[in-house]
Amino acid sequence: MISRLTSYWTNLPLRDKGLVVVAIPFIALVISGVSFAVVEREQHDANEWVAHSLLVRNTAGRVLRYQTDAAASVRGYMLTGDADYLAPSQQTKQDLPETLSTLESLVHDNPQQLTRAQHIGNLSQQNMSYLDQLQKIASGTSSDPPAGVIQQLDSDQAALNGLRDTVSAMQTTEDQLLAQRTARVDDIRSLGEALILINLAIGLIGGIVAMMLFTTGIVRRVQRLGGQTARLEASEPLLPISPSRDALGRFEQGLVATARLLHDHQTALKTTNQQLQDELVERKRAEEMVARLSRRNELILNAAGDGIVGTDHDGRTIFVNPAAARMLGYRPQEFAGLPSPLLDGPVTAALDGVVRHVADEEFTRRDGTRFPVEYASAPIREEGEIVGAVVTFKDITERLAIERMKAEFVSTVSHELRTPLTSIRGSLGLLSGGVLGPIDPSAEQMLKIAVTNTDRLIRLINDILDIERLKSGRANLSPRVCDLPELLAQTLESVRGVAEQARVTLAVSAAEERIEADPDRVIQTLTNLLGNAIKFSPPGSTVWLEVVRAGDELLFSVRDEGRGIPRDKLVSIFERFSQVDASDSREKGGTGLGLAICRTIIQQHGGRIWAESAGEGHGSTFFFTLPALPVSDTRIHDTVAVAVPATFDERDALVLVCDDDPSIRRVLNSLLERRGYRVLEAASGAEAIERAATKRPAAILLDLLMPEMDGWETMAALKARPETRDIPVVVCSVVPVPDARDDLTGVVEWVNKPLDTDALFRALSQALDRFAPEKQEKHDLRILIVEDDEDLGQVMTATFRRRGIATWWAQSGREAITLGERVRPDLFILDLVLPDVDGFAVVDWLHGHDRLRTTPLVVYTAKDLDRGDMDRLWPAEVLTKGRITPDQVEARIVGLLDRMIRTNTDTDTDIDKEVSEDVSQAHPTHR
Amino acid sequence: MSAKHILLIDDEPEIREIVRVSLELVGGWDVSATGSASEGLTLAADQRPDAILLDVMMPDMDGPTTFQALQAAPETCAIPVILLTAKVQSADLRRFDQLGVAATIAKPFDPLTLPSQVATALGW
Repeated sequence: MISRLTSYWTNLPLRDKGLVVVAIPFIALVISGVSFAVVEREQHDANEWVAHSLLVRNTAGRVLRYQTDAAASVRGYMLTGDADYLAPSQQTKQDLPETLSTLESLVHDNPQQLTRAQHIGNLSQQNMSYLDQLQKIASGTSSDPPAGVIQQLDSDQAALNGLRDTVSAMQTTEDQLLAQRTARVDDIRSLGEALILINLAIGLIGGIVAMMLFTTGIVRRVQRLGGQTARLEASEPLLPISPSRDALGRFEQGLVATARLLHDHQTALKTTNQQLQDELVERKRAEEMVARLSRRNELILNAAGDGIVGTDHDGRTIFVNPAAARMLGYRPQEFAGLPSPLLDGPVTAALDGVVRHVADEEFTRRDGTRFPVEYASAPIREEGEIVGAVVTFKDITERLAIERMKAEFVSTVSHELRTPLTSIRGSLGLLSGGVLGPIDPSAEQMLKIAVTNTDRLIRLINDILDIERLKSGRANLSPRVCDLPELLAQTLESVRGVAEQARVTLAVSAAEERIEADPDRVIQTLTNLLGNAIKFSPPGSTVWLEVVRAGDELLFSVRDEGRGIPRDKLVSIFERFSQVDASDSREKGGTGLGLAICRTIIQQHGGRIWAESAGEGHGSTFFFTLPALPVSDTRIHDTVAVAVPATFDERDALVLVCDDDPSIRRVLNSLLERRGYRVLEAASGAEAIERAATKRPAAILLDLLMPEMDGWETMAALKARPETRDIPVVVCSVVPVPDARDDLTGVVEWVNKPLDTDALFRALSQALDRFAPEKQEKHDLRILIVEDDEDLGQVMTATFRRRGIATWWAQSGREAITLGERVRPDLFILDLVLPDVDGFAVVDWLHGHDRLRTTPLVVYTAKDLDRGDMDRLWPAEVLTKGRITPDQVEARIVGLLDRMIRTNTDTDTDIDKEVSEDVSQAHPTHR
Repeated sequence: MSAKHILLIDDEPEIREIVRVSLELVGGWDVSATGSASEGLTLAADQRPDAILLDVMMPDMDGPTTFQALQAAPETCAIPVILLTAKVQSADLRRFDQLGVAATIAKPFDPLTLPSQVATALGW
């Protein structure tokens, strides 16, 4: 009920609220008004009655007075006979009727009083008449005897007394009434007073209520409004907004909403303002910076040593720095606005959008003289449009002079250093080569040291001069289109010997590509890298050279299994004179410049060169790129086995040198010994035969033109004797190789004098290679047999060991893998059924193994294999136990080994055949 | 078969000695030598060697000039000439090639292989 009232009140429209507020006191006022009016009436009536009573009393009194006055006046007349005394009685006669009627009318509502009033009237009449009588008597006009006056007077007096009594009674009654009426007046007055208080109270209460209502309904709400506004202003949280739907409520809501809106706008404005301010600050700062930079730029340009000229898009000069003006022989002012004829070429090109950097050009000065410059010109672009050009140049007269001096210096030094070195090298070489006579072994050792180091010095000088020239650009690269296979072939030619001597295999795989490069320099680089790889590879290992296409480049890689490069040296090794180990230079004979030279060469070709290594002991790979020519078809060769293996031990091979000329013997001796061979000398054919028979050399170098017994005869004799029959002979003679070769039985190779050392060693290699199978087997061949069967394993091991083949035996897959890793055999013989792992797993491991995947594999198993198995095992040779006898196995494997070795040398098959023929059929044809 | 005869012209006596030993003992040829270019011209005309080994840096007449003189004279124009020099920068080599010499061999050389280098160059 209350809440309904409250909500009713809350939602009452303001006007109504106002009305209510005003109504309350109004009502109170009305109430009091009405009540006062009522009281007033009553009071008035009461007062009227009081007045009435007074009037009655007074009127009655007046009547009495009139009568008494009249009586007195008559008496007075009677006494005096003065007519003046009659005036009041006249007056009375006049006024009396009216007064009497008045009296009667006054009391007509009160019967008792009315009676009295009538009585009074009567008495008054009587009185008057008596008085009249008296008057007449007095005046003598009366007809009555004078004696009757006393009667008249007594009657009159009686009337008067009676009047007096009646009047007094009337007055007494009237007094009673008056008292009543007066009391009533008092009562009413009291009531009135009480009413005042009540009305006061009502008024007060009403006022309070009205005030309260006013306050709550309006004032407080307005104040609250003010408070809300203040809070909005102060961005404080608002009080709950009045839900009232009246005007004030709506106003409040509207106000709040508006205020909020204003507030948001204000905030936004503030933010914007702040931003603007910040921007302003920024801009100012930027402007300052621009001004500062601009100043600095100007200073820089003015201070720059290079000449800088800027033109607009018509080629007119808009900017010239002092250096430019000075170099061109102008004063800066003279330039402005003029088209720059001096820089015509560069400017025109730049305005066309061409950026140029020309290392040597000539500009003309104002006075017509020319001077060499290096310049760069470029267009100035603004939003993609060319709006001008800028040319920077510098006078390179001095630089050119310096370069010329350097070139002269290099050339001079080159010559000056080389001349004495020639003598040193020459004389040492001759001495050390035994050309001038036999030398003490210790002396020879010393000479060897001297020669080696002289060579090293020469290489060093060459490298230093080379790198100097490359770096300064004087070693002009002459790039041309080259065929990659050709380059590789030449490279391999030059490293073949080194590889052989180091007993390192080279494996080459290359795409058939063409490049535009300086072929000599590319070969130089490859030779260097391969040389390094071979140098640092352990004997028996392989060096891989691969060339593949990678986008528009060719990627060359040289990989070795050497000792690797520590990570922190991978970059620094390309620096001059840095080697991984300080002792390298001495040991390996390097100059320390090789890689630096390679890098310069590659960089000048526009490629990159770098090294990778898994770390010490894990080999290393050197990569470099060269831009490739677009080629229509590229066929990638399979791993071209340009293998240059040295699978057998050349060292310690004994070579018999037979020549009548001692100096030649000496030369050959030293050549061969330097190569690691042991040398036996024979001065004549007879001596040769004898020594060959006893010492059984691995090969014989035979001169043809000898006194007593010539080469042919010697050869015949050698072939005749069983001990010497099989010794390969290399003819070493000035006699040129005969065309008809069919009678050259027993001759492996023919080497001409003067000696081409490479040819000689190649020949020897071939000779030794083919005809020393015992040596091979004794020294280097290794087989790993993987067989779990005890008996079979033992038998096989013994079989091969008997033949001089180093044989290992693994009885499980795991052991096979371990041994395989460690031993790195030349051949695997693998049983497929093993205790721990599947033989196939071992095959897979082999196929996946970096080095061992190319090792020949013979699968010797009892298992019958299907197509799928065979595929898996390919390319292994498969021998099935039970189908083939052990002897056959042995023969097969030995044959395999033989073939392996044979395929690694480029043999001539007809000489092969020749040799096996009966030597007795040989006959010399030359003398 | 007679051995080849080579004329050596080099102003450095030591180098002459070494080359001589190398060509004679290792190469098996006959060698005559002189330190003067002009004398060399005379000897060449007289002896008609099978080949001439010519130094480049000589005081009176340098290698190329000597060569041109040899080419100019009918007696000597057919004799193949090999330059023996320390100046082996590519620019120099090109210049020598353009002259028309049979070959250029660099100093320092290996005396043990010098003869074969010469033989290869001359096609012997």
